[in-house]
Amino acid sequence: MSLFLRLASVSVVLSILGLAGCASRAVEARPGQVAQSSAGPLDAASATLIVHGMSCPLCATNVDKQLLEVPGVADASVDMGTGQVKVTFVPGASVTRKQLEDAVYKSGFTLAEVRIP
Amino acid sequence: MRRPTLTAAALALGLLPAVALAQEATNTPAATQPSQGKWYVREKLQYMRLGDDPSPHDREIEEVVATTALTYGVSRELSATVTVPVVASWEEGHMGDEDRFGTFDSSLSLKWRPLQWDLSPVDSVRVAFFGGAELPTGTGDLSSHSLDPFVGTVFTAILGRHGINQSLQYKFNTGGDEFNMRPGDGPDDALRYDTAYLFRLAPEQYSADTTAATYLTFELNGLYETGGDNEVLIGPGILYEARTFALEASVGLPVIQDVDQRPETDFVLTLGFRFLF
Repeated sequence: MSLFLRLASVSVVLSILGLAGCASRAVEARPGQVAQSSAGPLDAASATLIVHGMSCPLCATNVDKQLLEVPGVADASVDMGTGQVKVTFVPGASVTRKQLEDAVYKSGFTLAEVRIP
Repeated sequence: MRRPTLTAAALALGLLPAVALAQEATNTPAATQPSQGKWYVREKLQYMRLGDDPSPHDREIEEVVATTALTYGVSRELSATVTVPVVASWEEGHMGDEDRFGTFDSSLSLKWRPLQWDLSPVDSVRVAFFGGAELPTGTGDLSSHSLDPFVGTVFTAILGRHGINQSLQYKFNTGGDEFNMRPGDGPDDALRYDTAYLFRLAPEQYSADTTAATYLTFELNGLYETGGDNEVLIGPGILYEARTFALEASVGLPVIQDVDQRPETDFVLTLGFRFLF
């Protein structure tokens, strides 16, 4: 095995070990400013989610696509500058905080906060 | 008349829908993937010219390759990709001229992204591992006629307007033609070492009105083959990314070329299209 390949192999192994050692899962969602439990329906017409990691327009599309699949969500609009995702509910819909958390989780980003007006 | 026909066919294939995600340069992997249950298609249309063939064939080769990659988000951390390259090539050499049209070997792969730190609304650092195999599905001698597994890892960091991707990929070539003409597809194993830097030209700051972004990309795409060949291409490019699609263009020019077991790459031109659905 050439010196180049040896160095490359060592580099890869060290990277994997080092990263695994200090790795953690994605930043866990911090408690939001909402009094309701995750399972209970949100008593509001809309909610604002603070989402981290939306680094590009195409990335951000994953967030609103997932949120729009939540039953009772009428609209989702992303502000990439602040990470705010404004979610509007269908009148009378029973959307829970957990449904919103799950949608952001599936989108591949990190939910930092849920704000209810 | 045959060449225009083949070129038109390859170009038509290049217009097929394709999947790609942001902050991913043209020829360097990134630790990005579609979200759970979503599809992403990416189409790359490449024109490349190869010359200085050391084999008795002394070939000069032109190729147009339309590569379609379809990716599905299995879960938040896992995605699956199938890649199908369609090729039209024209060879001139001492053994005569030969035109080909068909497919190279297709590949199946999985990408697992266990490490992710989303530091702010925009900033993110991620590490992914991927692996798969090239299957002997190619047409005639465009196939290696062997199952060639590969493994790799990629690191992605996006900090403000700057993005960097660093990838290493090792392919175990279990077959391959002694007189192979394509980089990385000969009888020797292949180590790809790729680096990409992306700079967001516009907008300078994201806002609620942002619907698209434009990036300058700069890549160093290296290929070391265990037979001793080593080649590095430098690749400036541009990437335009909207909410559901992206367009890209880049050129690859050799800056390091220590190749004596296959033809050398003269240059590579790439156009790409990505679509998320």
